[in-house]
Amino acid sequence: MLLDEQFLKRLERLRLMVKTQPRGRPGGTHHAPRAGMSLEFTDYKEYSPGDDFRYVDWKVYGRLDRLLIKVFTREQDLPIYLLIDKSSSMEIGGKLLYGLRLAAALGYLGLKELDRVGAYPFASRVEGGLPPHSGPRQIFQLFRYLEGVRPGGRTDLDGALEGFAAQRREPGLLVLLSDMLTPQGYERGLSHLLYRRFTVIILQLLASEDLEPRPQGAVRLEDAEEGGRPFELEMDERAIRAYQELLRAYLQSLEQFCLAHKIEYLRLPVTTPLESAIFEMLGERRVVR
Amino acid sequence: MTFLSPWALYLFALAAVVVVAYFLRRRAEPYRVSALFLWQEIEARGRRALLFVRRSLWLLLLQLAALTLLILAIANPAYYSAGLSGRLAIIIDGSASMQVSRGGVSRYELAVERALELLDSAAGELTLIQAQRRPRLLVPLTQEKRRAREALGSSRPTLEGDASLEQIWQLLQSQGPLADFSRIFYLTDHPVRGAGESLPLEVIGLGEPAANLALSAFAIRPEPEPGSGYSVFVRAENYTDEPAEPVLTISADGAPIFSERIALAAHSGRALALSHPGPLPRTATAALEAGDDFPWDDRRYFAFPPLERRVLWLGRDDRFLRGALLAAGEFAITRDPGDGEFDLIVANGAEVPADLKGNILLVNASYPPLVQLLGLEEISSPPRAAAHPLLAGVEPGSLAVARAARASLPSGGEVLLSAAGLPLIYLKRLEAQRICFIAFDLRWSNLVLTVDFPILMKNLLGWLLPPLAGGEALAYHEVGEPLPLETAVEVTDPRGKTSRAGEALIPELPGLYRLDSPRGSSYLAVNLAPAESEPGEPLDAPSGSALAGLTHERSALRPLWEYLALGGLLALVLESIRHERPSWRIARRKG
Repeated sequence: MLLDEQFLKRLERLRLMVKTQPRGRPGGTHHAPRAGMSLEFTDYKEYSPGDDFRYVDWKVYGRLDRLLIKVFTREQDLPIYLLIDKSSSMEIGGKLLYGLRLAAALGYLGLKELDRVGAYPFASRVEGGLPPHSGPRQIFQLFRYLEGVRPGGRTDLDGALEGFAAQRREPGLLVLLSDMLTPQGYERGLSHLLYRRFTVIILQLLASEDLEPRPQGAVRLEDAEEGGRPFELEMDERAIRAYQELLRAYLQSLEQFCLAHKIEYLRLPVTTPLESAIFEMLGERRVVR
Repeated sequence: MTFLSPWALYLFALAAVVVVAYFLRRRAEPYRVSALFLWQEIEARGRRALLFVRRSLWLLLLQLAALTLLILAIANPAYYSAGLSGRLAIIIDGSASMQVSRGGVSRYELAVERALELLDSAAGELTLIQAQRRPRLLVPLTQEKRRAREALGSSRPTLEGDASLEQIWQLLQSQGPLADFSRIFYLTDHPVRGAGESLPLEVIGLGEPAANLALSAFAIRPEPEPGSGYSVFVRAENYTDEPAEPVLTISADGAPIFSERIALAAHSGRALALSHPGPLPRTATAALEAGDDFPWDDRRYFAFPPLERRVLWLGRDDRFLRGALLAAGEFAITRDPGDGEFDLIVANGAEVPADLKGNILLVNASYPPLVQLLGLEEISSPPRAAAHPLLAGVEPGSLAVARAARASLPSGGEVLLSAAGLPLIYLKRLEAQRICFIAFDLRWSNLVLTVDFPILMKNLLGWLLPPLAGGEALAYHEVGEPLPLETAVEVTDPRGKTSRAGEALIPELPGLYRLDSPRGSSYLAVNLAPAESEPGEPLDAPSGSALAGLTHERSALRPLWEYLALGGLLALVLESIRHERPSWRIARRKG
């Protein structure tokens, strides 16, 4: 069981916030960006030729002698795509399990708000996945699906995200749960998602082994995903300091890319308790409220 | 506890190699990372640092443990089985070969060390015997271990030859019936023959084969023609694994007459025959500059008895036999039986009258009623030699005899040489008479052409002619061999020390002894028994019929090498598992 009942009860109080309102189907709790038929009045606007006469506020016209059209917002559901990196590197430090639990929590929040939630594990590309649906039944299906995800494969963020975007899915909120550590880069994949009008949130999951490796003496360094030539190294304080400098630069580059492209980016060490991560860290960034 | 192959302990020097390899070895444990591409940038610096890597200390400890156990297994430690109850006899070989020293420790010192360990395990009465040509009781039956330890500590090896088992048993029987001894340990460097299965004898072998060069024979004989000088016969042996070229020096009456480097192949001997034109010397010395493990056999001595012996010659003359006779000493040979008493009667193809008394050498000859010739037989098989001291220094392997006489011989004698059951050389000792029968005419054999002939004749004449009083000595004498003397003789030993010999002289050192008596002066050449030069055959690997009846029990020693070797292999397996475990873990995760 990824999440216990007590934790789910606590999640009841939260709501997933989306800063950029995506298009969606009527029925959700998110406001659609375009005016439409709904019970909820939003604003007035000057009449312009072509507007539906039925929405002219004749009382205002009687008082102010101006033709104003009543604008209503229609509430829409939001497709939420949970993209979970299941590559072998996510096994290090329990990043995958942490990501699956986080995905389950976010999916629960979405489904609670009557949104459609789908889950797509990926490594070098997205294969299969749980298509987005709404409703209480989807909660159990989502949890069961996430529990069955196993690690394996090499990360190719560009390829996977590009492929996902190319499938012409309905744009929505895309939560990317990954360590984002890949020599092939991520920029092209993310750009494709933005181009396809996805709202992207990156939750970067990093293990303590990634952030603060301990001195191991002489080691034969191997890539967790069997990428690159293994080599031997004296992993001492000096080497670790050099590595941390390189990692810091890499993370900064990612952060700047996200900032420039208005992508919500949050770095989550997996040593952070899940509750703190959701209620405090995601709350502070207004991803949930 | 003792080590049967202590040289293996030198292998512990390999531990240094293991330790150095531990710090220098570049194999490291696998470590998986999420972002290898970040680490690759600092790879070059890491490589330099790996010159001195520190790996798991467990691996080093396991490697050292495996090395230690395997070296100890090679060193072959053994302990004496506990509870040596009952009556115990410990016999230590005190013969000359026990002075062979390797690595500063002699075989005798090793024997004492192991005897002390046996003493520690002994629970009952024990006796200590030092075994050499004249065995001696170090400690009579006692329960006082302290006394036995003191006796062992103060004992020294001799330069005598090997003891005979009969003498040892006689000495042991003086302490009680042999059946009362529950264990008899014999610490020696040579095989023990004819011990019998009924005795609880346990032979404990000592030492490795010695790297030894030796002179195994040395003799001088005058040339048959008077005034034409003399011939020198010498045999040098190389018992080492390498060829050698030692300098051989021969001196006559103290003056060198020959000095040359001689080539000796590994594990082989070389016989040299030299002629020298000078007058016959009284003494001669052969010396080998060997620098080996056993220096005592690098010199051999020869001396002519100065006093004449009277010899009656019957039958056909033979210049080789005459030459060999003259080589053995000063002999006055006559053909007239009426001349009086004779020291020796030599009959060559003739019958010795029955009324003649004395020591007789019969060469294809008869002496009724003791020796009767019955006819001739063709000999097709090679002669077989008995293990007899008179064949010491003689190599009968090259001997060939075409035919020999079948004869009726007195019973109770000793067969030295035989072929197809036919005695070729037979010795019979009577109360006041000694008879040596050679069954073939010397012309029917190649014996006279071999270097063995003068040595064999010297030995046979030495047996036929017991030393006479007043300084008449044999040319060939061994250390520890008693020489009876009828009158008081002043003896000057090789160290220059003069003493009165009393009734018998027992030489303790090899060399030239000067014997002064009212009848005149003579020299006695004392040499090491040739058998002492040969490396002992391995006790636990007897082979061939010559070793039939060899007793080689070692049951008192419980070897531990199997357990140590097993432990060493186990440590290696553990080291291997520990070394490979990280890789397996990764493979399992991947799987």
